[in-house]
Amino acid sequence: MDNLFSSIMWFFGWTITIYMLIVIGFYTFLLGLSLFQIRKEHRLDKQESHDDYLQDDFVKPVSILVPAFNEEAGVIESVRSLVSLKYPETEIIVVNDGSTDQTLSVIIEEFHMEKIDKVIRKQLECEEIRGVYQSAILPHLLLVDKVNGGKADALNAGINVSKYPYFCSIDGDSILENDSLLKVMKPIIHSDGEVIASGGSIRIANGCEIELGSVLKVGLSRNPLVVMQVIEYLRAFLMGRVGLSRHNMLLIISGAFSVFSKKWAIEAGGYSKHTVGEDMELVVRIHGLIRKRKLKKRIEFVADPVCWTEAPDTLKTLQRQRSRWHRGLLESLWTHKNMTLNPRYGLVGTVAFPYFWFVELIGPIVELGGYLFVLLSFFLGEMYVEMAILLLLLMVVYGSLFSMMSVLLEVWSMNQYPRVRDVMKLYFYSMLESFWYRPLTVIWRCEGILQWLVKYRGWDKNERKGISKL
Amino acid sequence: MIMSDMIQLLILIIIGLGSALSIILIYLLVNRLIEKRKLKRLDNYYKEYSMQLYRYLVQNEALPNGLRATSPLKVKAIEYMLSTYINHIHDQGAWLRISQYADDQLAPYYQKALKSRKWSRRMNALYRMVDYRMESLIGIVDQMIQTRKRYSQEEYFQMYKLLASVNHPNVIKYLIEQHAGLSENEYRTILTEIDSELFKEILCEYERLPPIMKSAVIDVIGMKNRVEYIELLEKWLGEGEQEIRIRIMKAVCKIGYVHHFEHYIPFIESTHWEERMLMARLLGVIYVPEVNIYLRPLMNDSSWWVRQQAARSLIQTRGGKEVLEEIISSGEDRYAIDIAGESLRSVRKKHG
Repeated sequence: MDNLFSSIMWFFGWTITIYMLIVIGFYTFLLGLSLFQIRKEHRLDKQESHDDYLQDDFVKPVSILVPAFNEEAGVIESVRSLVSLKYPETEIIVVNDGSTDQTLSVIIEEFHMEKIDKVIRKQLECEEIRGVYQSAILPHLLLVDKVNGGKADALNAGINVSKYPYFCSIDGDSILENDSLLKVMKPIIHSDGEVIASGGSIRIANGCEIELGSVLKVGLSRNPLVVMQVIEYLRAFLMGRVGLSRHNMLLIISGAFSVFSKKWAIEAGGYSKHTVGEDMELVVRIHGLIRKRKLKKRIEFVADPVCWTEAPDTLKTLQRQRSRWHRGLLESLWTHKNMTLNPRYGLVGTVAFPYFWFVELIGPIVELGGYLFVLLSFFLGEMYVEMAILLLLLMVVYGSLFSMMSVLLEVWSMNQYPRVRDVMKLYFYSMLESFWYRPLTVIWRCEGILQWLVKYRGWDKNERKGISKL
Repeated sequence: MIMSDMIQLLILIIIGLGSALSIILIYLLVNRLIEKRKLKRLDNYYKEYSMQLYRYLVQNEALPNGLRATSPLKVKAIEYMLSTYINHIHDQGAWLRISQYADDQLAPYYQKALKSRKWSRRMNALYRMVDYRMESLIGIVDQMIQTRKRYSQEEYFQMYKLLASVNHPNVIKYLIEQHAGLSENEYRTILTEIDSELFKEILCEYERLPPIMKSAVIDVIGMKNRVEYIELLEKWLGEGEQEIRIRIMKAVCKIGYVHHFEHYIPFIESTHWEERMLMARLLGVIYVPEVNIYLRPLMNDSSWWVRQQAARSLIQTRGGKEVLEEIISSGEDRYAIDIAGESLRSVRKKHG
């Protein structure tokens, strides 16, 4: 009996070790790709490279969609930041998704909205639209009032109302920089439409000084949970996505700010109402369409930070967000499981999908196993201590070292945090990542998988405080 | 003992990498401090010399010694000062002096930067040379294009742009023969830079152009409202593929004038909705007698875009509003009624 137990323990120990080694190898590879790309653009005068695109008569117009459900606190700031975007031709469509608070009346009052007659072309299914309003002071600002149907439904309604060939979706609580849209549209304009969707880096706004819808000064929050999320975002965007984007394997471009070609989004069926990860779901479906039609189209990612968003600052809200994200990931992977390892879908099928299954989805389960092993070993005596130490070290490499590198990558390339104190703080926090934050997120993500298994499909919404009050 | 070896190795890696990373961090932070100091010196320099530079460039005063680019830092400061001017100065004479000044002072630095192994350094130099319309390094850039060494597509774009800005005759040859992988957008930018003489030469070579450049040429004709080329566009209309035809119609819509209307008539019944839509748009901007005869059927088109455009055009034409009202009162086609109603209401709203 003892023997059997110890073989099981050893088996688990080694499985986790080997898994971690493979994942570390893969991350190193991604880091290499990102380093190469970022080094190339180091010290390049980016302003210059954007100017070339502003002057052109042929800049593609964009409809900006802002789904808003009970966002009375933040929606005005959000719209203001959109109004000041530097881009030749846009329309802003706020979709009030049957809010139960004052969202609708706040917008109507602030921007002098008036009800208009509009024939809406229903290209995507959505809940009933009660009315469309237009601002008397900003003619390119529209407000759609509809029956509640969820975020995906609101976005679909926005797409139906929109008139331009590209749309970008943005969360009601996000702040953009004034050249954000230009940066994200650049790959699309530049490639003459070969790039059909594109997204940029998301950063965390907590701790920054924000006024009238723009970030005045970048700072770091005092809340350790938020600091850890800052590091996490750096790691995901600077390390992961830059690398994946180079080979058109991006399965996630954040819903907080990304642009899509309307035609492709509609052909892919728009946003799905049946998943909590509607942004990933859409990207995956577009990838599927591209490969099915054997077209040379791409989805790209730009490393520049373009969007500032409010991060959850309590354990409870963060927990909900993470378990929801992971559930969304699983839902999308499961829906499109036939793409996995399917050579018909090119690199997306053979590399990206397996990566998302094996690293992103399974990762937390294996890691949780690792942490449990370490805990158990202290009770079971000396036999397993060595294995536990090995695992712990691997987790430090996996969690802390890569995060430290991401922070350095930030300081080296983007240099967004002006205060030395903030940089030092980020660096030290990243060292400690594997000891408290990582285990927490691992548990939450496993929870997401569990929720999926028991068919829990809720959308626990975080309570917003309004970004200007952070 | 595999495991203890692995543990030792991992500890080594963690300590090694950890300290290496920390050293890099310190290095980066120190670097940042130095940069900050530099910025301060730059700022001081700027405060001291920006007025003098202005007097030199705009009021023709003599060049003070301090404005000679004697160090990389000064080059930076001068670039910074010039960048504030180039977007705001439109005076021809002042521009000549900016170019002259950049040619005298900055050219040696850019010449060196062009040979740099770092892509971003070469790019920045090219950006500036284009910004200041520098002519002294044209020869070198021309040579760079001709050498066997391959540059990135972004660099070729800037190099061509530079040549185009001085109307260098070789630029046409490069555009046609060297497939640098430029995008349509980039071709357009270059084509808008060159003068009408060179542009005419490109038109003569039209048949030889890659399709992507053909589209760009057509776009530029439309953008710049070159009425004199309408006949040429109409000639290509009959020969081109669908994509080219669409471009031509868009350009003609922009210009708002046609020579031979009969060339366009068949496209009103095209099988492609884009062509029908563009015809609907064209009918709203050009003068054709009895134009509503052509627009009326388009109101019952199967495509929403065509109907919408036809309604908008009818608002513009003489007697168009009556046609829209008649569509509403006839009560036959629900889709046509919807769109006619929306257009009429939007007009009424505009006029109170």
